[in-house]
Formats: sequence, C-alpha cells, structure tokens
Amino acid sequence: MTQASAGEQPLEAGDQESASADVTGANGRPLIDVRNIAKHFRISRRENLVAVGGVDLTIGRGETVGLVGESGSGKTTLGRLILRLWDPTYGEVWYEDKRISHMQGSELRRWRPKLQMVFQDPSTSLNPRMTIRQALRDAVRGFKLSREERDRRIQEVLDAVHVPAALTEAHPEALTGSQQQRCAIARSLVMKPDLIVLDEAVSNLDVRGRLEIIELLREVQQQFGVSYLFISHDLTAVRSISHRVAVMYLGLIVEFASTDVIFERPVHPYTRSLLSAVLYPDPEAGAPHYTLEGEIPSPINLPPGCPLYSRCPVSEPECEQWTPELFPMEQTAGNVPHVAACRRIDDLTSGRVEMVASGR
Amino acid sequence: MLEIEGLTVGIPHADGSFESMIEDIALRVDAGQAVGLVGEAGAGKSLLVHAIAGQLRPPVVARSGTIRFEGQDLLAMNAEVRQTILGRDLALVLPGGRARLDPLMKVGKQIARVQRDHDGSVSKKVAQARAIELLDRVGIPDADLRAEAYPHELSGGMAQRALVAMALVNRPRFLVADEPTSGIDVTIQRQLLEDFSSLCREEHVGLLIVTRDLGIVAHYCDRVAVVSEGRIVEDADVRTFFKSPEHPVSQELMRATILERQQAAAWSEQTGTVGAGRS
Repeated sequence: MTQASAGEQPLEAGDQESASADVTGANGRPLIDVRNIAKHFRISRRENLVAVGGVDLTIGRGETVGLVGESGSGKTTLGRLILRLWDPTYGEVWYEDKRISHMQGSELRRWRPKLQMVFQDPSTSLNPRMTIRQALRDAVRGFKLSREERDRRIQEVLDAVHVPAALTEAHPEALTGSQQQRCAIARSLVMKPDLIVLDEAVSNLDVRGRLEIIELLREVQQQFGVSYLFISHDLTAVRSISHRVAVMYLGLIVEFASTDVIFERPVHPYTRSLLSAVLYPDPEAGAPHYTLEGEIPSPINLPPGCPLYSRCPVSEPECEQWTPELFPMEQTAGNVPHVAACRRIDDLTSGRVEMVASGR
Repeated sequence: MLEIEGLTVGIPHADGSFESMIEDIALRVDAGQAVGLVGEAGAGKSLLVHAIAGQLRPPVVARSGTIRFEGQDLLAMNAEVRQTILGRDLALVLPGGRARLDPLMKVGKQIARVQRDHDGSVSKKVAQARAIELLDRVGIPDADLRAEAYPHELSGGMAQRALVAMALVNRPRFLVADEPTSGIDVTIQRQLLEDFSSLCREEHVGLLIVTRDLGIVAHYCDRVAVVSEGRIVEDADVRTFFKSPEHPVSQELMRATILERQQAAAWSEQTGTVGAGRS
C-alpha cells in the first residue's frame, strides 16, 4: 500500500478465516522477509556479544508470528532489526520488494510509519503530560495530513480499540493498565501500518486484561489486515494469537512451525523443555518437567557448536561441534513448514531417544 | 509462625473519618507451610506485604489489628527492634528487580552487607563468599564474576534473582515473596520456586507468596487466600480451592484463568488445520 492510498477504507478487511493468513501477498512475496540477519555488539576489543546470529524469518500479510524464548535470547533485538531501529551487522530485511535494511534518509523515513511498535508498559510509553487524543495527534505530526483527515483517522482507531470518548481527553494516569494499552495500540495504528511489533505487550496485565487485549488485537487484525510480530515469554498469550511461532535460543531460531505444531508436537529439546516448565492452574496436573540445567549462557564470545549443548538433556559429545541448521520436518501441518535445528532430530522424532522427565 | 488478626490499614482524614484500604484481615502461616495470596491488581495484596514489612508510610497507617511473628507483634514493637527481625528472621522478596538495588554498589557487596548488618562478627571475606554462594544458588552463571557487577550490568531477571539471594542470605525462618518471579523466564521461575519449596519442606521455612498466577499457587502452595477490595474473601486448602472455589471473586478468577487456556488451545488448533489458504 502506498502513502497516497493510505486514507482509503481499512485495507484488506477480514475476509480470511480467523486463524488463517496468507503468507504471501499479491505479488508472491511475504510482507516481511528477513534473510540471514545478525546483530553483534562489540563489548570491548576482545569481547563480542552475538544478540542475533543469522536468522531467517517471514511474516505474511495479516499474519501473526509469535516469537518466544528466554530473556537474552535475542527476541527484542530481532524485532528492532526488523523495524530498523538498529542496523544489522549483516543480513537483509525485505519489505515486499523493498530492501529496507539498507535504506537511508528520506527513503527510509517514508517507510517508517508502515512499521510500528507497542511496548510492554503503557504507563511509561505514553506521555504523561499529554491527553490520549494529544498523544495520537503527536504520532501523526510530521506526516502532512490535513486536519480533517487526521481527526478522522484518530477517531477511527479510537473506535477500533473501544476507548470510550470520555477517556480520550484524559491523561494516561487516569486509565487502567488495559485501557492504557488500548491507547498505545491505537497510537500504533494511526499511520495505517502493515506490521506492528508487539514486544511483551500483554505481560504487565492481569488475566482479565490479557484476555481483553488479545481479543482486541485479533479484532484489529481482522479490521485493518495488519501483521503482528508478537514477542513474549508468556506462552499462553503467544498460543492464543499467533499463526506461526518461532522459538529463539541464544540469538538463533531453533524451531519454527504453526502454533498448533509448536504446542502440540514440538520436536526440539529446547521447545519441549520450555513448554514443560509452564505451570497449569490445577494441583493434580503433573506436567512432565524436562530439566534444563542452569540458565541461558552468556552470549559474549559464544563458542561455536549447538548453543543448547551445555543444558540439553539429550546432547551427545558430537553436539558440541555441530553448527546449527534448520532441518525441515516431515509431519508438516497443512502447508505450513515445520523446521527445527537439532543434530539428533531424527532420533527424537523416531523415538530412538526419549527426553528424560525429572520428578518434582 | 506468622499470624495476622483484625488488621485494618488505611488513611485517617481530618474530619475523623477513616478510609480503609484493607480491612479486618486475618491470615495465618505456619512453619514449613506455603500460603498463596492471590487477587486482582489493586485488591490490596501489596499493601498487606508493606504492613508486614513495616513499610507503611503516612498518611497510610494501621488502625487496628496485630501482625504476630513468632508471638511478637510487629506493629507494636519499635522500629529499631523490628529492624533486627526484618531481613534476618523474616525476609522479603519484592518485585521491581533493578530498582530495588543500590545502583552505586556492586551486587555482591550489597548482599554481603545485608548479612553484616545483622551480624557484625561476620568478616567481609566470609560474607562475600556467602553472597557468591547464594548468587550461584539462584541460578546466576559465573556468580563470582557477577558479584562484581553493578545493578545496571544485570538483566531484569538477574536483578530479580539477586534480590532473592539477598533475602536468603541470613537464612530466614520466614519468607514473604511478592511476585517473586515477575520478569523471570519460565525455566528459571521453575528453578526458583523449587528452591523456595525445598526451603519450606526441608528447613521448615514459612512462605507467603503473593502472585497473580494461579499456576504457581496450584503447584507450590498448601493454602490460598483470595483478596478482593481489601478483604480476604476466601481462605482454603489448595486442593479444595481448585476443586470448588466458593466465593464469586475466586470463581471469576478461576474462570478467567481457565478461559485463557481454552481460548489459546482453540486458536492454536485452527492454525494446524487451516494452512489451505497458504501458498
């Protein structure tokens, strides 16, 4: 969609099934295509921190891709690379047929509004001295909209997120956490973006608030056809909104598949361990707990080989030297590819080796 | 071990009226017992923790009631005596991670100081070694190096674990943990809760866990108290509670928690079977 048509009716209204999405757009390309992207931070002359170490990822139009993993796994860095808040060390980000990872200056600025972000804590990401309506006006400042067009759009997004008119003239402090997050979502929508990166956007809310915001995000996606990159360590939240889920560990994607496959038939030892650590609200439910010992290693001067080696319950000596690559799995649901990066993947899927569940 | 009776906390107004924020709270936690305190945001859970910690600040005061720790009323004793108990016998883990640490002091030294403040006979060297031991125990890798880090050099999850280490340094007999695992990843959350749980079982430490997560309550608590609008509306054995919550507030909390899981499962099921619209 170009800037000129941005003021038209909401694009790509919800004509899809609720949980389906076209991975590819009209021209056969996904909306976002991330190719072998990496971000290294140089800490000192001898220390190099690999936050993201060469990742491929696609996001389709109207699709939600969930990104899960522990803190320090590179989720946020990957989101910021896609938004071009940071420049990659190497690799590319394509936005349909435009290579946005290498754009500069005014060309980049033209694309900026197409990619938006919603943060974890709305009480600190909304300006406390602006009313909600002022904050939304502020978001379109600099994009040369007529006053009528601006006000019409602001009203449209406020209606879409169900913020009562009375609250739009209030300051953020007068709103509950869930209402504040609605306003932050409205602000991200006002420039009619194609992608919103939601970085832990429901993690600060209680269960009521999470339910509300997840439902709202689904509605907004139906209405505006926007894509989401949903970054969260809350696995239940990820499960309830994503079409596909990528699992990250130490800067790499270790498994990527449809949400159903990730939650019902994961193969990678890390994914399985992560899921087994979720506590069910039922004292009788004894979920298996595959132990991951210790914690995520430091990403500074990471040794080569499988990043999970030191914590993996099924590792073999050979794994220490194995360079991770994503293998396609056979049992793929529908047409959604399922890939996983584990040297022992055949042994795990054939049942030749079992993950050992530790007793509690 | 910890026994709260008739506790009412709030703000007295000039006209003689009293605006209560928590009212007539009764709660009891025995040695070796883990009690979960649950409720929505703003229900008064954290205020109760502040009252136990002696952190009520004017205009908020405790109007009536007692908070007995091993028989002594924490509210009635003077601040100096209370300070000898808090941080030693009764320790707190509060949420907030880095913001609760001194930004100008190395993490190991902060932990060592909590120990030396309560027992001057401990040498700096011994206290420092104990700090490193605890940082290691709460799952911080390279604990000896991390002890030399300043709070801003730690991730949020690591800072939160440093707070847990600080609470455990004097081998407390009672631990109050307010959202102890907020901002911590599930795998580490599990490790920390296991650690609390073994303190409870093996060293008979009493445990009060304030949380919004019914999953934690289900697996790591013996009893649960539900707070709503400043009152405890239900106090039950965990198994009974999850089988049949009695109060409407408990039922609603349970319903929302179950609904969240069901919706997630229903949504994800579709993503596996659709696929047809994709190329």
